[in-house]
Amino acid sequence: MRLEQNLIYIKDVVLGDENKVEDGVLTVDAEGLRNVVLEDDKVKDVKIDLAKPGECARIVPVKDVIEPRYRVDRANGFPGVTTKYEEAGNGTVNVLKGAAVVTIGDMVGFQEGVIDMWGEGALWTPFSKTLNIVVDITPVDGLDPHQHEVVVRLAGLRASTFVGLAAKDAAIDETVVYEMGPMDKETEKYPNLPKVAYVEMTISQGLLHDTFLYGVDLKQIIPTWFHPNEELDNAVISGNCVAACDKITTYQHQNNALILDLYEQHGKTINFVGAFFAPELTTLDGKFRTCDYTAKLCEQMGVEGVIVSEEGYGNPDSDLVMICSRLEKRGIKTALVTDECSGWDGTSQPLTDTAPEAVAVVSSGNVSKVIDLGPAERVIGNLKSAQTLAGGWDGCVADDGSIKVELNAVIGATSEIGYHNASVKLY
Amino acid sequence: MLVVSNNPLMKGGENVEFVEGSFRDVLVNVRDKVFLGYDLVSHPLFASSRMMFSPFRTVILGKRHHSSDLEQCQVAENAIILFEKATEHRNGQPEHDMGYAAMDLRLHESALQEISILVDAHAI
Repeated sequence: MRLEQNLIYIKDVVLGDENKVEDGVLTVDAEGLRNVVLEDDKVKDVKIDLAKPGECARIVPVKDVIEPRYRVDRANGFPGVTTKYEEAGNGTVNVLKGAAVVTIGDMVGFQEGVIDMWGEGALWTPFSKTLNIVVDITPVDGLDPHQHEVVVRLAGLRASTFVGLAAKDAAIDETVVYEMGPMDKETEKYPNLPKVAYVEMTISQGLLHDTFLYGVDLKQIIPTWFHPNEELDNAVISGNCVAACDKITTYQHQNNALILDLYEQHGKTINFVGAFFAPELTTLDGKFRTCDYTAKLCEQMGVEGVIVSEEGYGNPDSDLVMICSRLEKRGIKTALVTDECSGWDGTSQPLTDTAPEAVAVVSSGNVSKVIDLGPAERVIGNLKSAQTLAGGWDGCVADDGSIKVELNAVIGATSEIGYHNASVKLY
Repeated sequence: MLVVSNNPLMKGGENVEFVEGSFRDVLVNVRDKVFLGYDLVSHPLFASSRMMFSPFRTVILGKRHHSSDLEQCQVAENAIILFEKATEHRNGQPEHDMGYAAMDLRLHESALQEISILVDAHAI
């Protein structure tokens, strides 16, 4: 497969009456965007707002973040979801790099998910650096949370596709090519490099805890092989709205940092042969089946090394270490990427499960770490959600309105696919 | 199949053993039963950070055997340890109780769908 990404670097965004890019400034047709969201008769109202890096603005509660793109000479949107199915991963896509569509959806009262565009909060979320087109969607009354989630999820995808139309005729700053052939051809090219695969675990457990591949609910599948280009080309979307710090937003699927890094090493230190989806199911039986199946697929494909990334924490920790044990026992070197829940002081057992084989583990941060968020001059979204963000311990809200929160609450703070800001410092 | 739950929306349901207590009390009840030989069918913990602060939890158990399964015992015990660590500084937020109850119910329904064939076949 060969995917060509034409990058258009966006330096600023303004609202106007047409979609276009001029000198790095993205103009968004505000009325057109509203109308696209309102196409669904289950949407009662929509508000469009902008949030730029450095502004004293807080966006909450974030449902999803999506990168606006234009797919050249192909169905424009998300195949199998907002367009008829077609294979993703081959072709050309124009990308508005630096812009993001952020959807807000207050589906359940306790939902968290904050993006601060300034201060301490901005250090922790990668989406404080993007120029955010915020789409605040109010559904009609009487929808249950399932319907509400679908309405907001699809509205966000439509909105990002509409904004992406600005990339159709825009001047291209840079072109990046992602190309990988069948495993035997790549192995002929790099016979002395170890064959390495990527296993992407996804939360697949029900309402506000779902992921979709070409529109297929991943909790309906047994682990499957996919070409990394497909994920980079809009085949994967998020339906996950509760685990703010470590949910993989649609934007992060479109820019999966592990896939990009593995591509970077392809042909140099490794032979990157492809990827698998491993859904994180609810039942132990489902977990055993997923983990056995994942290890079996890797072995059957002749893979010598595997990188596994988790999504969420709690019961998925079991899947993570079971996959690791099963791969290592088959003689396949395995490295894990996960965040940890190590308590406020960071000294506690980080995962619910451990395994002697799990010796190569990369931490993407401690979800329990407490940070201070100053008072925002402007809250985009639900002010009530902002007030309940800190969620339930004594003295978490100061007199000046600043709040203490755990990283739990911050979008993308401990992303387990590496698309985040936290890093390690040696003392 | 036996369902252990403190979720008020589950009270009186078929095969439900209702726990008058907290999320942690449910975890302890489940752990004790797994030690006694009950199969652990669904994982005791949720999959997302925010649900860790739910006051309610519903867990599915299966048949009781003559001996306990070591791996399942570890899962049930570790769930309590992580839950305590994740919630050690937290107080309840009663205003969200019914939202959490509804979410727990929805996720329980998804778990039931996941094992519907096993249930129909009386395999659990």
